[in-house]
Amino acid sequence: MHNTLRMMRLDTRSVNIRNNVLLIYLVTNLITVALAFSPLAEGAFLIGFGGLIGGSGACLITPFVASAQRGLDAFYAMLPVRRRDIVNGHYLFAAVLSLFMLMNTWLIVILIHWLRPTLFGADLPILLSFAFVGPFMLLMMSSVQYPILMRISYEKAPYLIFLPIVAAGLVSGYIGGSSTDLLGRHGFFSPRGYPLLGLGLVGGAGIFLASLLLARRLYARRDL
Amino acid sequence: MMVTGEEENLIVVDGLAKQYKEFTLHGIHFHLPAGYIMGMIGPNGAGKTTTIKALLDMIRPDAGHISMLGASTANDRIALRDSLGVQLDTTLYPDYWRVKQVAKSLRDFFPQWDDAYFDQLCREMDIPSKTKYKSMSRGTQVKLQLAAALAHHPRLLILDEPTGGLDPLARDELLTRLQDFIADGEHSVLLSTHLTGDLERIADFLLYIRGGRQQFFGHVDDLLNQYVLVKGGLNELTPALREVLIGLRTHSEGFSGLLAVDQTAGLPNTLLQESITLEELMIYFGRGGHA
Amino acid sequence: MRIVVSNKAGIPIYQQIEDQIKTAILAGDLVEGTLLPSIRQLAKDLQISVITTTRAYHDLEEQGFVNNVQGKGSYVLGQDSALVQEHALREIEAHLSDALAAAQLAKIPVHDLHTMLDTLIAAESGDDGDR
Repeated sequence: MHNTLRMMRLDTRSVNIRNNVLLIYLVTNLITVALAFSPLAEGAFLIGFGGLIGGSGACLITPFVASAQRGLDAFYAMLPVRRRDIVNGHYLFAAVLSLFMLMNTWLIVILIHWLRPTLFGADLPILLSFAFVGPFMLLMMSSVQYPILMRISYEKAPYLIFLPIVAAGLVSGYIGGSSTDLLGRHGFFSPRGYPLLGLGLVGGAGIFLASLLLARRLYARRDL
Repeated sequence: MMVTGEEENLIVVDGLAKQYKEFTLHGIHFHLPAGYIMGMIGPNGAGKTTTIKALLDMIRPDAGHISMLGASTANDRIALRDSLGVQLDTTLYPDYWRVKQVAKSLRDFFPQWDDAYFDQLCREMDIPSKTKYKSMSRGTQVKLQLAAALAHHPRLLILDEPTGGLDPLARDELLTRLQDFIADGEHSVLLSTHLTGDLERIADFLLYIRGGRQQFFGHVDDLLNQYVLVKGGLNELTPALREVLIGLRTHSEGFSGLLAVDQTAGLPNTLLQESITLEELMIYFGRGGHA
Repeated sequence: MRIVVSNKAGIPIYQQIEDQIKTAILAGDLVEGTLLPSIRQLAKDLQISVITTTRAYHDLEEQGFVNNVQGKGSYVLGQDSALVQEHALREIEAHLSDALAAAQLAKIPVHDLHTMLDTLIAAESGDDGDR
């Protein structure tokens, strides 16, 4: 576990990922807050728009993270860490990043709600639900992308694979955030939403873990 | 020789083999006792880097046994990375890293990491602290890798083409550093290089690989003493001589070629026979003929 | 002690080291009991390999010039030791054989060889007399 943490820290250092993530979130947060106070922003859709920016920010980061791993395999090989620790570190990094995204979105939504309660009104749960979409997409994309990256090089990773996942993410986002017809005004936080949320989380975690185990197997056998 | 006695081998490689689609490395046998410098030479694509990658468990050999610092399994070897300093012939660190990031990141992993020593090495090797890794010249990148490799006080250094990008002065300094490193008789260095002049002087052992096959392992002098360079006029180049010369080169005024020492009996006195250098050995063998 | 090695001399480096240490011992510059630099120190100083230095010291021991004591270092032996004498005799014999072979090749009579050697000895002692 110790080595997993060390590897995760190394991941945060290996791109200027920390600065990038912070910058993207800072900008997104500023835009969102600014929108909330702008006279034009009466509709919550604009905030949703802000959330989407956060989501696409995550999409932007993912390949960034991936490219950071390109060519660094030789570097990792010189460290006193086993290959499984290296893979664990990458996955922990993705999980922590996702959690960070979720927390950030919640923080912003709650902040705006606290500053201007009238803006969201009863839409707050939907917005909080919507916050799951970005991190969920990030994790699912990592789940597909990482095993490929662990097996072959970054250049060969087929991007088309991500399209269905992006689509799935958007659909779940639509369900969780926008489709009040399906889930009611409380989004995932409703009697009909909870099972869906639970299913999503458990399913997502399952896919993530399966991907981790696969990646470990693939990386253990790879010639660097 | 006095070198014998109970010596501890820091590396033992026995029958190493690795098959690729277009290249096969096989039959690699060598050992490196504590306190010595071993050089690895051979043309491009001979298998030097493949051998180093096998030592570092970056690839899984198809056959053979590797023992490094006494560890014979991959996991055991990885656990001993603190005692191993490595420099590779690739860009190793993330593009935007500077000296500071290298120290900060490696400190986490190597218990024996020595910040003061690392700073000292960076100063001595003139490594700019403000330059990003990707903007450094190849030579400086190599120096940074070397500083990082030495900074955790390893017992064994494995260096892939360390002298390639260095100017003559830096190369000389590196060789001195390596000699200091092994001076106590406890530390060893394995390095691969094209610049055979460096090796001729300081290497104790030599591994010569060509086309994925080991040609020679032993003392440098012993290899060089096996051959002579024969030169003469074209009329002296008899068919029998042509048959046994290695890497024969003819020109309108004469010829030159390598000859195994045991074949020199009966050569006419008019032929010039010279001792050879490693570079000549590699050139003449590379040109082809009889191995 | 002065040791200078050349990479261009065409003589193996261990041979150069041997020759220079031998010369120093025979000239009395290195007296009996002197501790020579350690093999590793000398290798470092001259920027040559440890094995090369080891070979030189080993040869010197075999020829009776030094005594290598494990863990202590290499000590210069007295130059009047029988081994040194024997080695010198062998070397002289080798050189004389070379001279003989050269003479045979050029069909120079043996008598001329004797004369030549006598002349050389006379010249040598004459030089000494001038000093």
